[in-house]
Order: sequence, then C-alpha cells, then structure tokens
Amino acid sequence: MTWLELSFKEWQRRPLRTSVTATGVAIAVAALFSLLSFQRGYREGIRSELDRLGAHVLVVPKGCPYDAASIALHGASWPCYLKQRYLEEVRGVTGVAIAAPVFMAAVYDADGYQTVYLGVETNILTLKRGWRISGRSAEHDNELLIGAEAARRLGWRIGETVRLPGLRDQSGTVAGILAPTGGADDTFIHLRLGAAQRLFKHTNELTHILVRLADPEQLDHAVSQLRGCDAGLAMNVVPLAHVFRTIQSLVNSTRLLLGCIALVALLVAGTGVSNTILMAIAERGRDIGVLRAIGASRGDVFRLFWLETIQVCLSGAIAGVGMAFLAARHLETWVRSKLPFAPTDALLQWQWWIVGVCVVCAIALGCAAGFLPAWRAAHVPPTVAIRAGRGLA
Amino acid sequence: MLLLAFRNLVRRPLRSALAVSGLASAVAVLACLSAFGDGYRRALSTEVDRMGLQMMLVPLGCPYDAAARVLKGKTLDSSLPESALEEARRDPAVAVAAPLLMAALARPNQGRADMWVGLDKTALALKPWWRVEAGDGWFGDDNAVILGCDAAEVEMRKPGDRFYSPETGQELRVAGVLERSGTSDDSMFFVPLRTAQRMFGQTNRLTAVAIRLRDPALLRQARDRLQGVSGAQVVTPTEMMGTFVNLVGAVRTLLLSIVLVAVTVGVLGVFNTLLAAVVERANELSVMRAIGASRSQIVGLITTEALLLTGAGTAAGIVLAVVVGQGVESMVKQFVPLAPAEPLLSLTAATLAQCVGLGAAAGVSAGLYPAWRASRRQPADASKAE
Repeated sequence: MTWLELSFKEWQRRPLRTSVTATGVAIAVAALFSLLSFQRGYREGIRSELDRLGAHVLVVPKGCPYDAASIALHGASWPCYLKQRYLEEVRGVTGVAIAAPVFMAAVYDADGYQTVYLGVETNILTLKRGWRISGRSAEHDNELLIGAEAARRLGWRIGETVRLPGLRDQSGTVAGILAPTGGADDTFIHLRLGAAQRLFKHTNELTHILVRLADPEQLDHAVSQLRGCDAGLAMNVVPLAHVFRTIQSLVNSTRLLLGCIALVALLVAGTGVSNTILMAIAERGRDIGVLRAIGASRGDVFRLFWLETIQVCLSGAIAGVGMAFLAARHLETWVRSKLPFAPTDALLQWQWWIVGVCVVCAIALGCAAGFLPAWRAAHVPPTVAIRAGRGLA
Repeated sequence: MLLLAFRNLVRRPLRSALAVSGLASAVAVLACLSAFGDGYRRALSTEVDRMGLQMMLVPLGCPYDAAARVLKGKTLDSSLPESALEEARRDPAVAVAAPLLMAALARPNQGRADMWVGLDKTALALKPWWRVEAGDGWFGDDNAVILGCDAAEVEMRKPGDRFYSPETGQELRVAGVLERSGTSDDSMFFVPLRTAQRMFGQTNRLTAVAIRLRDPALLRQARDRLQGVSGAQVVTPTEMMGTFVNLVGAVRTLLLSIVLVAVTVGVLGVFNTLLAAVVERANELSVMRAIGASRSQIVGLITTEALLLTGAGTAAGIVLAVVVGQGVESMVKQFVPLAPAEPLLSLTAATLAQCVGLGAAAGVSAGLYPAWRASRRQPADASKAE
C-alpha cells in the first residue's frame, strides 16, 4: 500500500466528516477564485468597452462625467443636451482628428424592453474600426443600421420596412445589420443624426461628441485646448483614459479589503481542517501506536497525516474551483445588479493562473493546518498511543 | 443540562477552541463590516447637515469628485471665476452664497498637508455652529488667521500669537481658535478670502460657492438656472451622498457576501466538531438512553452544545471586533472615498443583535444533524459500540 492510498483511507473511514471539511475549504476557495476572476474581468471589461467606443475623449453635457460615460457606453436617455454648434468648435481645436456627434435616446415599449436609438453621422464609421456591416449604413433619413442583437430580438432583415418600437406611427427601412461586436452597440438602432433629432424633437441638440485625436500622446494638451475653447465652459470634456484610471483605482482600493476577507474565510477553513485531522489522530491512536511499533519512524507518521491534510485541502480546492464555475452565471448576474459602472463584457474572467493561485493557496493552507496535528501524532510514544486507544489528544 | 453540555465541550479543549476560533474570526469581520456600514451613512449625513447648505457651485469636472474634495478639504485642479459668485447672488432664490477658496500646503516633513480655507463674512451664515473657543470670532484684518482646534494644537498657537507661513511667505496673526466640531474643520486654517487668493496666487478665483436657498422648495428651479452659469455646475448634498452611499454599498455587499462565506465555513467546522463528539460518545449516549434519557433530551443536549459553541464563537468574535476595530477603521478610511472625520465603526445594538441572531441560527443548523444522529442511538447499542 502506498502512502497516498493509506492517506485516502480516511475518506472511507469517515466519509461525512472528511467531505464536510473539504466542503469548507471548497467554499472558501470558490470565493477566492470568483474574487480573483472578478477583479480581472472588471478591469478587462472596462478597458475593452472603452476601446470599442473608439474615441479618446468624450464631450458630454455638464454633470458627472462617470455617469455620462456610463450612459454613452450602455445607452440610456440623457438628462441634458449639448448644443450642436459646439461641434464646430470641437472640430476647430487643433489635435482633434475626428469629432463624431451623437444623439442618443432610449424608449421603452409596452413589454418593458428598452430600445436605444442613436443618431450619428457617417464619420462614426471612421471611429468604429471594428464594425463589419452587412448591407450599408444609414444614408437616408428613414434608413436604419441595426445591431446584431437588436436584429435578432426584433427579427428584422435587410431591406425590410419596419415600425420603430416604442415610437408611435414611425417606420424605417433596415439598410444594414452590424456584425456582433460583443458590446452595447449590438443592441442599438442607428439612424442619421438629423432624423434622430427630429424623431425625438431635439433639433440642433446632441447628447455627446466622440473625439478621436490625431495623436493620443497629446491627450492632455488636446483636453486643455478643448476646455479652453469658447464652448468649453458649457460642456464637460472627459478623457476616457482618466475615467479608466479612476474606476481602476476604485477597484484597486477595494481589492485589498476583499482579499483580506477572503483570507479570513480561508483561515476559518484552515481551523476546520486542523480540527478534523486532530479528531482523526485522536481516533486512530491505536493505529499510530501499532505503526510505530512495527517500525514506522516519526517522520513516517508525520508524513502520513500531513499528506492526509494536504489531500483534503487539495480536493477542497478542486471542488471549489468547480463550484465557482458552476455558480459563475448566477454570481455574474447578481454582482452586475449591485455594481455601478458594470461593463457589458463577462465580469468573471478566469485564467489558468487564477486556478494555480487557488490550488497553491489550498496546499499552503493544508501544510499550515496539518503541521501541528501531524507533529503531535508523530511525537506520541508508541506504548502510550496503544494504551490510550481512542482517548488520545 | 447546560452544565453537562459545557463539560462535554471542555473535555476536548483544543478541538472546541479551534471550532470557536474559526467562527469567531468570521463573526468579528461581520460585526466590523456591518458596524462600518451604519457608521458611514450616519457620519456622512452629519457631515452634510453640518455644512448647512443646499447646493454647491463647483467647477466643471466630476461634481462628486469635486464635492468630495471640498468636503474633505483637498485642492481642486480647476477653479471658478469670481463672476460665478455674483451670478449666484443675483439669483432670486438664493439667500446666501458663500465663496470658498481651498488650498492644500503639503508638509512632507510632517507627513501631512495643511488645508487653508479662504472665507468671507457670508460663511458665518452657513456655519451656525462656528464657535470660537478663544480669541475673536472673526478676522479683524487681512492678516488674521483662525485655526481649527487640531490645527492650533499642532502648531502650538494661541490667539494673539504670530504665525508665519514659510511656503507662501505670509505673516499672519492668530485671531482665534475654533471649538471642536468633529468635522474636518478641526484641522483647517481659515483666512480672509482676499488673503487666501493672494497667498495661493488665485486672484479672482474660487474653489466653490456654497449656497443656501430662501426656500428649499425652490431647489429645482434654482438649480436649472444656476446650471447655466458658465464654467460651473451645481451639485446638491443629497445627490452627492446618494452616489457615495451607493458606491460604498456596492463594495459592502461584495464584502458581506464573502464574510457570509467565512461564517458558513465556520459553521461547517462546528458541525464537524459536534459530529465527532457524537460518534466518540456513542457508548455514553446509549447508556444515557438506557438510564432513562428521552430522545428529545439527547437532542436538547447536543443542541445546547452547538449553541454553546457558536455562542462562544460569536462572543469572542464581537470582542475581537471591538479590539481590532480601531485598526480596521484606519485601514478602511484610506480606501473609502469621502471618509468622514468621525469614527465610522459604531457597534450598535442592532449590529450586535444581528450577530447574535446569526450565531444562534448557525448553532441550531450546525447541531441539527449531529443531534438527530445522537438521538438514534438505542439503549441496546451500548455494549456494541466499541
């Protein structure tokens, strides 16, 4: 019988106790795993979401730029508007390569579905380099370019004349469908700027302007230029890199706290493991004595119990990672409902290194939790152990 | 029965202690967190109430960020032109509009930054609690400075003393020292607005304009009008508080869920301990049954043991929370945006009740299966057990 087989014996001897202990480790590891994948997913999600926007700077009406950035990214109705003449001023600023005006409005239809309409000019195509359009973009006032997800939900095809959801007695022709981008664009309906403004009765008003700079390195200079232009006092110039940095620092600041608490969970699991092994040693006092009597060294006994501990922790870790995978979808929806500025991408993004970290943590936990009991077992003289029988420890 | 349950637990001191300590650390974190959440909300609203204003005009940029900086006394990157103040004062709904200029002077040697605030007389109307502990209630001349009580302590100055600010080359005279207010005002240096503008090279610039309205019901109209002031935007304290409470709430929910994980793991530990006790004492339990103990009495015994264990864990956890609470608080304050100056951790009766309730629920649920198992022992099993 090998060492490993011997240490597996405990599972057969006390299946319930051992599995409860392993479950404790598993829950703690699952929490750690989800936490680590969440940290990564949130950061990557925000980064790729900002990348997809294709702009370096967002010009929005007065108000919190983070709220504004969030609305621009996810689609909603805006509380206030920019005047269209600001656009010319923005375009006049040196360093601005493309300034794409956008008018965004969200309407709800009877079923509670939100439909987001976006009025854009054709220069949006130069910003959104990742867009693949089947058909063509909206070139006439009643033409629409719809996102893949919206097309799927509404069942629209190219060339079809459709009634616009959420708007009474309005119709348009589907000119093109956007290939899936993985972002919020998939759910938007794009119109021509003028058409959207007329539709929502906000002529000569915009909700935001997407600005792409000729040289992203000159961001700070361009931003101060934009703030300094005549319209600069009536609008908010938001460099997206700053938004990313702020949200990032916010997430980072919580990371330590979350990590500490996950550590507490692991610690609690560790005391459970220690306890279980202590019980096992107490119960198997006679076995230990016999083992020692037939020639097992202290090291051998130590090794046996240590292996047992690590094995419990390791199976806990594997079960925990499995649990985290199974629960990921529910967890994701739950976290999303709680979180401000949640990106549309998957929030929980796991990677092999995260699995590695979890397994290493569990093994370290096993080593620490098993050390004292195993040492104790190894240092009981064989005669005492045999005599004590079940009363050891 | 209580005594018997207690003796049973003490029989295995190490085992019981481990189970208790696991649960205790989880409960300690839980108590800290829920106390923190309550304390944060309360401290924030006191701080906002004390400001005595209904609106704030701040420069463009994130108004929440800006308001947080003004509240915490940090310098803003951008400033308002003084014309914004005139426009605000012209508005019919505005009762008081007080200009503020804030600047931070870094003192790297002492590892802190001094906050200087420039005010004019209108500020008094917005700060009814402004009470002077010693000296004059207001700046007598341009070179007067009024110190917050902590600032006076650090600088070791009394009213009438001279005060030289080397960074700005300004010679000042201490006119008064403020009473302790419990807000960030305690550590500030107040000077007349013009002096502050001169000291920090911000002629005709302001950091913010604090506004009180004639009637709070006019808030919406006044807000729409003032939103039009060029280069400025309006923030209301309620909006501000809402955002922070939301943000902190989101983080808190995440934290709480992980704490619950820890508690669950602790409960599993208690479960295991009890189960082992039941298995070990199988013989004893049979004997108890044989001498007339009923099933429900056995269930009661094991449940009492479970409650004792979790009770001890909860109590130890709460004690731990009280002991390490201060350390946790100072750590949390570094990370939370707009951490108010007041103590955040407040162990209220509600928090305690919550922890104790959770502990009891944990005890009952952890003891359920072992108790049931213990009660299945037949008196006749007694000799068969070993």
